Amino acid sequence: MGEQWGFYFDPDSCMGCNACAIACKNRHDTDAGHVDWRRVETVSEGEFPDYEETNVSLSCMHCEDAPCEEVCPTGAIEKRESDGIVTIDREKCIGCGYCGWACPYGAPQYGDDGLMQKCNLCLDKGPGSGADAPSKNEQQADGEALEPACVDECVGDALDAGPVGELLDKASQEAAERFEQNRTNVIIDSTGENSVTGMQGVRQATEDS
Amino acid sequence: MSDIATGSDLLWIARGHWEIFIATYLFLGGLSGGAYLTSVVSSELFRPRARGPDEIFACEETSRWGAIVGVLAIAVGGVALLSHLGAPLRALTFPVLFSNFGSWLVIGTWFIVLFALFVTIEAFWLLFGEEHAGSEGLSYVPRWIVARIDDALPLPEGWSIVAALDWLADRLRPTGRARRAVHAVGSVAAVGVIVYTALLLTDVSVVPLWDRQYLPIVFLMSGPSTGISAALLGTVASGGGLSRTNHLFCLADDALIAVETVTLVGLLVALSSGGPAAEQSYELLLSGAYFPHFAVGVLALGLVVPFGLSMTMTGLVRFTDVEHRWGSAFTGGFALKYVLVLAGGFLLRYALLFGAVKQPLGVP
Ligand code: SF4
Ligand code: SF4
Repeated sequence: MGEQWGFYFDPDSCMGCNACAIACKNRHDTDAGHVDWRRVETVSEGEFPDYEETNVSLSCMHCEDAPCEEVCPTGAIEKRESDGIVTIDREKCIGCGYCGWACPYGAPQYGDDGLMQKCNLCLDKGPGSGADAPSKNEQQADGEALEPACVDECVGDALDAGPVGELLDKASQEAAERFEQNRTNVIIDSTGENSVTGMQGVRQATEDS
Repeated sequence: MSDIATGSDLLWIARGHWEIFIATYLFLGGLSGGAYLTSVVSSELFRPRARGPDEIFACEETSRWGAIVGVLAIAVGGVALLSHLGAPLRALTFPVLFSNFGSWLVIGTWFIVLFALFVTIEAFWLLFGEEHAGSEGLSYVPRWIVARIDDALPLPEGWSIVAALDWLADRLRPTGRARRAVHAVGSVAAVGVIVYTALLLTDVSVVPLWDRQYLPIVFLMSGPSTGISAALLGTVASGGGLSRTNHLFCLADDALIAVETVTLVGLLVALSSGGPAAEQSYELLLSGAYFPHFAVGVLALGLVVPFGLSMTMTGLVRFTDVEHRWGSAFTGGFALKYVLVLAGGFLLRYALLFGAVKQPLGVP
């Protein structure tokens, strides 16, 4: 098994500017409007004057157990051993929407053709690309790996991507501990007031119930 | 997500990947399996005990209607499912393409294929063959249609599709034990279809409404209940509304309705304190956007009213002789009950899809 790749996100540094989401759309040329491989959501808490907002930039988490892969009838979805990236082979997708229900994060998107598309951690450009791409580790060794567009364009340095081991080095201890207990490949930092524990907690909660 | 009250510090996840076609498909899948079971029960249990020509007629009509409704429902359900897909033609290559046998969509597809085979052959055996030539009964409509096609086609003298089908049916129809064995395997496939439509949903662990404990029981009751209703609606239309067969099936349906209602109440109680997404579903179904569909359509009109109507009629049949004086009122009453159960069964699937809410993410 190759080194596993993932994202790192720090809500304290996210300004909610949407640069990541737009950069993603541009790179992958996804349908205008209703298809968002990455999206930024703002969650509010409390009422004025005790009012706080947290911005969360969300995409496919490349889950370790990938519930989308488990339900997909055709095996179109694959959690790659070589780099941990979850890819979709659109030649096999029938557009049943089952993965959309199974995903806890709303990552699978269905464009005008009704087939599934989602973040491929910039293994390649465009919907469905990357399913047969060489491992991200190999791409990097060959100097050919694309830096994920969202990370590239992030204004506040809130997003990062890379081998999970490297990301953990830069994360706070709390974030690293939380990551160890959860099954996604996203490290959510919680250095300040804002933490997105639920992104991990929700998986725990549903599995316990 | 506009119909969900956005609570603070929670990030709600979009839903709604399945539309009305999938609700239709889930409904027709359960109904089809249930109608086949009704047909088999009528043939195997009721027909051998039937006394007098009227009872025999009612049993046979029920068997035929069950099989015919089963074929129609699974066919229309299949088309409804395909029409929802992004790549329906690709899905037709499922024997090669569907490789993930851990997915309920794949397991269910094979159940449906197996079941479709059994229900079609059953309908064929019940409609064609020497003994059916010249028989009376509304359920012979498919046979009548083939005869009309016969008339319309310029076939050579002495040729007839009906005669050919009769000949074939008599050659293929097993009798005695073999027929029972076919019924047993077909029934397993029917139950498979009914239950799978629930497991397809409960396998999604992030939607509390699709509860693993309650939903399979609800579907296991609702499938046969709608199947009985569709088949017996046919029997009532054929003139068997006052038969013992109809009374017995109607009572069996009441038992299913009772268990289904209790299970649904259990589900609602569990939802009412099951965390934010469960509570949102609870609100949507009992006071929010889907109140008319669920609280009124499913609970009141689809379960309580038909149950009450049936109990009242059963009581009157048992303890008075008004049934014979007001025959057409009773016939209408049974028909109304079955129509209500069918409408409730559809609305149940509709409300379960549209009232589904995903666990939100916590952002404290
Ligand atoms: S985030 Fe959703 S789409 Fe991505 S791997 Fe997990 S379940 Fe699949
Ligand atoms: S929509 Fe496509 S990728 Fe998703 S489960 Fe269905 S076949 Fe698989």
